Amino acid sequence: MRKGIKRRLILLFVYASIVECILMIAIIISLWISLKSLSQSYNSNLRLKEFYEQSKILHDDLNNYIQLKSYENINKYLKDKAELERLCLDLNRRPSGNPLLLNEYSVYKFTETFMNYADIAVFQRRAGENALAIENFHQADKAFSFLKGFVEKLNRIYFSDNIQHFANVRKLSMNMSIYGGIMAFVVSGLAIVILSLFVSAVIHPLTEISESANQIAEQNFNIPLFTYNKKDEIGNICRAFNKMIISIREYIDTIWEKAIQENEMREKEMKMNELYQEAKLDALQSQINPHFLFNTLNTGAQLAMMEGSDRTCDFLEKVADFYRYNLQFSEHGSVLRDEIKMLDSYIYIMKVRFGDHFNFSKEINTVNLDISIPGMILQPLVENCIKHGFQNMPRGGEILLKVEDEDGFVVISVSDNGCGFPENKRNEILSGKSDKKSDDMKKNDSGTGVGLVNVINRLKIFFKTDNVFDIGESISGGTSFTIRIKN
Amino acid sequence: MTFFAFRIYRLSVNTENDSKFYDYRILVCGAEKHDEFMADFYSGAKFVATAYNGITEYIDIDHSYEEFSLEKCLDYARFSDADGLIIFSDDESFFAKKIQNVHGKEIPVVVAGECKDEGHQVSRIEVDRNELEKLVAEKIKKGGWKKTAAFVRQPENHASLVTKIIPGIEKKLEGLQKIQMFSIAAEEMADDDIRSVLMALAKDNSAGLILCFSEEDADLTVQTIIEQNLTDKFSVMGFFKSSKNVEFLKKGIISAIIYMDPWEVGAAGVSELFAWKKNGFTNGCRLITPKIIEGGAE
Repeated sequence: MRKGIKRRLILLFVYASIVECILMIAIIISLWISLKSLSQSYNSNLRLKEFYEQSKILHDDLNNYIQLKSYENINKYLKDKAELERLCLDLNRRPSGNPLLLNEYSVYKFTETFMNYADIAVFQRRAGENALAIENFHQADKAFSFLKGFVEKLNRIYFSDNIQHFANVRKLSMNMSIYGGIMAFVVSGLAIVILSLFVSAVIHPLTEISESANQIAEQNFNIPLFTYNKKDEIGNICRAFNKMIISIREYIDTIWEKAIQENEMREKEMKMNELYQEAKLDALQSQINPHFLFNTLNTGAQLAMMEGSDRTCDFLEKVADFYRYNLQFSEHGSVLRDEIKMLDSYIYIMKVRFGDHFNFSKEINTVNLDISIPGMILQPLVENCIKHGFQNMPRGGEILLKVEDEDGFVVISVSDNGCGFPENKRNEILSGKSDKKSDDMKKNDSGTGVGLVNVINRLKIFFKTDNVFDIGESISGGTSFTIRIKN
Repeated sequence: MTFFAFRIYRLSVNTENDSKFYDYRILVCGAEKHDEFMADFYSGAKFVATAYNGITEYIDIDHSYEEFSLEKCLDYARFSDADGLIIFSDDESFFAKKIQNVHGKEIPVVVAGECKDEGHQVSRIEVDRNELEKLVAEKIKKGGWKKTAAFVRQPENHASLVTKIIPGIEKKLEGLQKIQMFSIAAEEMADDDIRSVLMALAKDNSAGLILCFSEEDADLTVQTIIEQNLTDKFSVMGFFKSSKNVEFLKKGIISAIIYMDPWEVGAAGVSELFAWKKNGFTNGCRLITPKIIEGGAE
């Protein structure tokens, strides 16, 4: 059965009120009895006095009748005798161990004897037996003298008893007042204690709820759940609070997950921006030389043409084309066709530089050479082949550029027959875990200054996928760089 | 009735009193001068009366503002319609008249002690004189006193009783001694008489025993012996167990107290009374064996 706080409070109040009422009623009844008893304290003396007065009247009636036989006297005698008999009914009629009752019994017996002798005397007087009447009158008189003495004695006993009774009742009344006060105090104290305990029991979970709310307000959600399971208002609040805490925790977990994801995204973006800035810086830095060199080279080419040196003129023009492309497309995207064209210029320049040190060939088997591609992608791959693949090969180096369609992809591969690519370095570059090493590699790079890592990252960013570049082993045992672009 | 019921309630609250109701009320009375004796006498009567579902009431005549008399006790019993009366009397001239209540019903009277034989008491409780004489004689023999004297106060109620006992004691002494009897005339002159008797007896320097048949005689005799420095010449034998006598017994001035146990007397009185109520007759007399307290032990 569900007992709400309101109901329990009402019950507590009702119980306390009932106990107080019972106590008050008990005190009132006790006081009423005491007062009644006090008021009757000396009633027995009054009654006895009345009794004695009546017996005295009867004695006088008897005396009057013995002296003067008249109807009036006999009527009065009979009437007063009836009254005395009525009063006798209040007296004890059996021997008792109690002195008071025993004396009452004696008074009763003396009265009875007195009335009997009186009746005999009256009867004899009526019958005219005056001598016998006087004799019995004397007997009645004797009995009356005993009666008188015993009434006085009984009166003293009554008085003594009443004094004692009065003192007892007064003492009892005082005790009742004291005990009543003590009881009222105890009951009130008990009610206060029970109420305090009850209120404490109610307030305790509320205090815990308040403390928990403060903890939550201070963003501390690692607080224990409430174990108060009673089906009352506080229990409802506790359960609701527990639900709230659980919901908040779940919400916070969700927020945390989102934050982690966003953070990861932000880190990725920052990393990409960093790479972009680095590339941009590199590009800007490289733009200084290309512009100057571009102009210088054009001037050189014109001078060589004027002097009739066609080969130098071609060389300078190729160099100029290379740097022009570098200047135009290193920052923005290019197309595969232009990239291959730029690579031709570069190969020409390298051929002039290295002569027959290596051989370059192309296999273009695709129809879509206009596919978008970041600028300056192929050149670093070829440069890597020349600088690293053929570093221990003075002659006979072969570089193959292959472009073909494969399952909806345009696959571009640059392969050599050089010394191959170390596996650990390959893994580091592809996983992107060795940015520092990649940076070192970049620093060690000569030429355009754009390293493999740069190429890979730009490809990933450009095509928004990690599966765009791979480093493998060529058929001839050298290195094969593969770029897969969705067609 | 309410008044009576309320009073009963009040009495029932008072646990000190016996609020039980009884079938019989037995009156007990006796000479006021024997307070200690009467207290025990009443106690014995009360004890036995309870067994018959009776209550005893000690008659206190004081309330009538008149002189106490055994005759008045009889009237008291008659007018209060008692179920019986037990009287302790040390007056052998007391005549227990027949008493009836107002309806003519006889109220039985038992007399303990002395009274006229021709009285209307239904029974009489008295000491076994033979045993008493034997005890006194044995004590005299054992004590080795050369002479024995007895005081007989005149006029005294029990004078004739004493004069009856003395020959019996002498008989039981088997001629060993003759007990000298001295009359003490007037109460005011009693101490003078006792002094002169003792001084006369002391002349032959032999140790003697004085028999004192009343408490007053024993008291006066002991006082005289002490005053006259005759403690090494006389010893007293008392016939009443009072606290004073017991004190003198302890001091060695009284050599022995021979007495009737008052409790036993009271108890016997009630037994006789109820025997009469039950059977309509009794043996007319019941003897109580006397007891003795000798010097040095109570």
